[in-house]
Amino acid sequence: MSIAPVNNDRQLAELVKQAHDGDPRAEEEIIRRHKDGVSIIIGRIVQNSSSTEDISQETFLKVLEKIRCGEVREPERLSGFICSIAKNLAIEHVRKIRKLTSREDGGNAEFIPDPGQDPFTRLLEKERGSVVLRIIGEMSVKRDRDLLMRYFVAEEPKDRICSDLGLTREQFNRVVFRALQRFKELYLKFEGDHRNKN
Amino acid sequence: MDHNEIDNLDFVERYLMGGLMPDEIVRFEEHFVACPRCVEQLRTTEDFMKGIRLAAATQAVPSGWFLSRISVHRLILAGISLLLLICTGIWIGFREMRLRSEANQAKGEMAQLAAHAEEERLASKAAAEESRASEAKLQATIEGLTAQIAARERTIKSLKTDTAMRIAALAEPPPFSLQAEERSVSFNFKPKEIKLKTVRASFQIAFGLEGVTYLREYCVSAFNSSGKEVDEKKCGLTPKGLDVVCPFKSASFRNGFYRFEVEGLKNDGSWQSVGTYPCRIIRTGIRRP
Repeated sequence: MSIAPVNNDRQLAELVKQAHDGDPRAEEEIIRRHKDGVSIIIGRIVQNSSSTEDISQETFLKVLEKIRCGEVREPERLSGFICSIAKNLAIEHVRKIRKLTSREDGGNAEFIPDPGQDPFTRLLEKERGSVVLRIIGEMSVKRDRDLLMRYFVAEEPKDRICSDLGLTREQFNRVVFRALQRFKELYLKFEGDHRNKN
Repeated sequence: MDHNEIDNLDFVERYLMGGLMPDEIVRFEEHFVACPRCVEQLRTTEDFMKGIRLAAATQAVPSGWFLSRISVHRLILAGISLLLLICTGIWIGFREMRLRSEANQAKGEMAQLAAHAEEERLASKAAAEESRASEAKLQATIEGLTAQIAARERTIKSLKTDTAMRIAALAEPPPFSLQAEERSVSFNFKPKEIKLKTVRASFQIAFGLEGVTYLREYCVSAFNSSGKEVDEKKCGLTPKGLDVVCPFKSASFRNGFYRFEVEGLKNDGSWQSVGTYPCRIIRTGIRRP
């Protein structure tokens, strides 16, 4: 399996070199390119938006520090380096939380959620449910509704669902794609409106 | 890692559902951490998944969608079940009312039966008391009659004694002389009364013939006060030829009045009465050998 990097390895190596030389624009570019992905990785582990943001900042602080100190041995593989730092910090955070809450059954520290959610996150979650219901309600074909429920809720394998419903993988992907597009349209609209209000 | 591979192998969904192998996770994360397209796809899919799971968990499903998931025959079945439930409820209600009325009726009957039983108990108690009273009265009557019977028996006994005494008084015997011997020991008795003080097995009585001495042989019969013959003996004349001496068994006589009749055999073979000798036998004691 060949790996085709999204970022040009040379560009990354150049950015690392410039950041090492003290160019703030290079540092900003590195952060801009990676911040969303890092948030996803950290968010999957800590399950809390505010903690995710803190750990994300801490990650980039550490990455830049390493770059400035010249401790990045393979600049062209900066993305992997950032991922490993983000995951380590997130796991460390979860362990701290676990110690604080004296939880003894944390066999898998990566997936212990940070307790508590801010009101905005709760509002977003509620709205997500409403939007999904609306999308499902708009679906005229019962088969498509069954498909979404079985795939995303019951987590049944795609091949089995296709076999049961008599669909090809392309048809399946098309249904999912349309649902996700509609969701993105409605949800981003709500999110944007709400952010503008605040 | 390119996007064709990501799309074909469903990396986004599998990553969010935890279905990637560890090496796939590392490779995918290294890719998407700097890939805006994949990040956007991950965000959208993750939000959609959270939303649909929340909707499924809270069952906040739109009515049209919900109704569309329920088939018509299920609705009919639900309606029939509801109807049956209502009918059952009504039937149970009526049944309960009926049972209650029956229970009340049974209670009334029970009360009547209890009253009737109480009346019967009182009546039986009164009858028992009456029975006891009549029994006591009857017992008293029996005792009175028993006492009367005893009194009458005593009266009869006294009358018998009196009658016997009167009979004895009426049967005044002619004078005669008796002699009794016991084992060759002679002793005299007063006339009409023989006292057997030391009677043994037998005794003798001598009867005076008063001149009737011409008969060939003599016989003496002894009768008690009831007229029953207790003994009969043949006897002969004494050596002087004036009396007959007759031996009797002591066991044949008791205390009381007896009558001795003496007869003699004539030459033509017929019997002639010589005389009747009433007397009283008194046994005062038995000397044992």
